[in-house]
Amino acid sequence: MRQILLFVSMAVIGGGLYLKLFYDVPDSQTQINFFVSWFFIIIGVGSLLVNIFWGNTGDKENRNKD
Amino acid sequence: MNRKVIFILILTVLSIILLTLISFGPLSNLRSQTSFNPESLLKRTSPINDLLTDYLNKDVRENYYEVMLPKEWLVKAGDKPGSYNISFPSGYGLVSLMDVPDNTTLELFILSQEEPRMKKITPGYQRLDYQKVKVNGNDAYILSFEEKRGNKDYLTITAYISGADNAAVIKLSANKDDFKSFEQSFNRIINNFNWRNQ
Repeated sequence: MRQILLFVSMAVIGGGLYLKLFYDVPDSQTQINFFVSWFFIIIGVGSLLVNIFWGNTGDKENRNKD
Repeated sequence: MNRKVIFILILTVLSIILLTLISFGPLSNLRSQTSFNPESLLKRTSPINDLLTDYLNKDVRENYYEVMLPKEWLVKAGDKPGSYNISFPSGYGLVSLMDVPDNTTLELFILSQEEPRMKKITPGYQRLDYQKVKVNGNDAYILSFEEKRGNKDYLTITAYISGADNAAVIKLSANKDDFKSFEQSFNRIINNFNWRNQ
């Protein structure tokens, strides 16, 4: 499950970076492109970090108990 | 859920709120100042003439066009998709797209709809000339008229260039006293217009 979430997060970041750097934005849509690309990047990075840190403390506590 | 996760979630939510404000809200000025690049539309400097800068407009593929404008003129993306607002000493201009209904021709549309509309909204409108020409192989109609802006008289050349989907409109106005000095530039801009929709 965790690996799937990690993959999805990476894909979302990749999508955001693609829209930001490579997508040929029509003149009239630069504003929405700015929002969507950064939105993907923020959500992607956020979920990636949550994925990394989620339950880490719990694991340590469990290991300490053992 | 540990503290780090809560911190990350709060940070993410705050970032999205900030992004929304920068994109659409009161902080949108900040975005246009930091990433403002009206010449993002600027593609390359013309190899043909050092005095002209080449603007390659891209919005809908059928309506891609290329227009060359003097380097020293101020050019900004217009409100409508595929348009540029131009300003220069003693004049102003506009390059835009115009949707012509399928049940009429461009010429008929100009004479029956556009000119009467302009007469209504333009103070002191007085037609000076109307001619049919070819611009890079496309039918074009050039309407020249005089108008009043405040106390000053302006001469305006409006070129309507037919295209595959929309027509292009190049409107260039200059103070009547200075018009002679701009006339050549105006003609050159119109003649250098090119559709890039192939």
